[in-house]
Amino acid sequence: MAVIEIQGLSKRYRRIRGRPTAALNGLDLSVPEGGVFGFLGPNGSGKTTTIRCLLDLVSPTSGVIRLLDADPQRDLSRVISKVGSMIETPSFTPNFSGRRNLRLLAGLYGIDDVAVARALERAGLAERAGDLVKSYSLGMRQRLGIAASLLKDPDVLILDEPANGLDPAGIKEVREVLRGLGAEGRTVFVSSHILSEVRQTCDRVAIIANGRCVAAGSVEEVLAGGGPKGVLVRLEDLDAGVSALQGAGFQCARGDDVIRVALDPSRASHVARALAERGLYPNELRPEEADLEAVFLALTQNHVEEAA
Amino acid sequence: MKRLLIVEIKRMLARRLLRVFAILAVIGVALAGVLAYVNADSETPFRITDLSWIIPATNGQLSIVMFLLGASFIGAEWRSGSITTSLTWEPRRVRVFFAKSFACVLVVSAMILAVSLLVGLALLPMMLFKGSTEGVDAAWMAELAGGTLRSVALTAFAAGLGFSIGSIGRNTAAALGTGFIYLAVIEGLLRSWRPGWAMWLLGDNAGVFLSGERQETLYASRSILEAGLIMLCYLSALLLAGVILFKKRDVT
Repeated sequence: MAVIEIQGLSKRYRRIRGRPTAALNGLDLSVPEGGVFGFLGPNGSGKTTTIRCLLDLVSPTSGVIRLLDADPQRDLSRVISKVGSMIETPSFTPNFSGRRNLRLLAGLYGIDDVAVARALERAGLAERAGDLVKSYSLGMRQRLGIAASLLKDPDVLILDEPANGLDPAGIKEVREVLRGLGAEGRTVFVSSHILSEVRQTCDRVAIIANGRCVAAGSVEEVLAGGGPKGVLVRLEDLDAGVSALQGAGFQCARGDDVIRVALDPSRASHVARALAERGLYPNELRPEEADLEAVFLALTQNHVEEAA
Repeated sequence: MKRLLIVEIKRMLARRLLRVFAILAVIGVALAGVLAYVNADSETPFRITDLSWIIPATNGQLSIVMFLLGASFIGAEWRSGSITTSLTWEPRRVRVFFAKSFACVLVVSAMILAVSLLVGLALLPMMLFKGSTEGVDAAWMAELAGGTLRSVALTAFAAGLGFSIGSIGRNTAAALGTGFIYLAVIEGLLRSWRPGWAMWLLGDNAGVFLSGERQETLYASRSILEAGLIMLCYLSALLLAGVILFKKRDVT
């Protein structure tokens, strides 16, 4: 069952001056139950607008949205108790402590202090929970937002750039929290533009560009779908290796310290044989790993160019 | 709805502006009490019955501050983005709007009632030692209670008005600007251009309502009840506009 189902979602912001701005252009997305789902896209691609549409903060111009089988525009209140969310850097009452802010929110649902303490602990804010929010750094506010999103013990978490403003240690902690939540069977929908984080945290990803989904699936599927493929060869004499491989009919190019051969990695033995026949023995022969950044850039740039 | 209202009351009470006002009110009233005591003389003794106009007049002046408090309560939430946090917890916007506006009016009313009590207490030493109790009877008590309640209602009205305009403009400054332009420019222009319309203006109706006396002019006559109803209509219209926009507009 899909926890989040989006079909043909479009959003145009009307402007007092100038033409309307299209933030979403027929976005299709399906987020299955359980695990961590990464929602990737460059700045201005429509990630936050999508999340705002999911939480009924923004009305879509057209399209269908289902969140836990509810239409957010009509009956979000029916499922909101199962949805924890954090949009950008959340804002809290600055003159209250972090703990008091959470108690305030918890009061809306009759959530007890034990749950507040647990959420603060899980977000790594227990030690500073008694301090006023106005004394918090950006990273601490972000942690408080994460703690608030955990308060309801939700089935679904919708987090917009949760690692924003966190230091490396904080990013690692958030990564562990998200992975833990996903492993518990919850669905964590997390938008980000930090590709390394997405790769380490998410089970599935969707890449959005220019308001459309340009790739979706497991991280491996997305990498396989758009990234460069080939075999990397490292040996003593690179020039000799290049001429040997070209002589054997391979398309290859010399890099700084490797030869990049355009070949399906499953056929890497052919490269080894061609080199051995010329008396060249590679120190290293490995498939060229698709890089999420390269895939992301290739997919998003293609769409920006198409749109232009 | 009860939980939401309690949360909004706590939010309102956490406003720094409200706390600053409370502190200034206590200091100001205490200072006024001391000065009144020191300056009172036996030739023109203070009469307790004067409280029936002092309290409403004081509260009437505070309407402007309450307008600011109402506008800043919602304006600050829009500015800081905490309205987004609120709506991700309670997506029923009409409920959120009315819980916030009701909390605002409730807190302001309680605060002005407390200020009224403080004014009375601050003047108590002077009344006891240098004043006169002449004229204190059941009729005066009723007049005092009526005047105080009307002035509390007027400040609550001002807070509601500020809240509505602040909500429509999503900004405290926009609400203050609108309020200032209306009172300082538009009412003045209308009053001189169309004197017959004066009895429909907010300022004139507020004056009648606060004074507790029917007003007769060349063009019309206005009772306290009529003035109160007219103000209530204006407030309802603004609240309605506020809630419709709050429900319909995107939260970006």
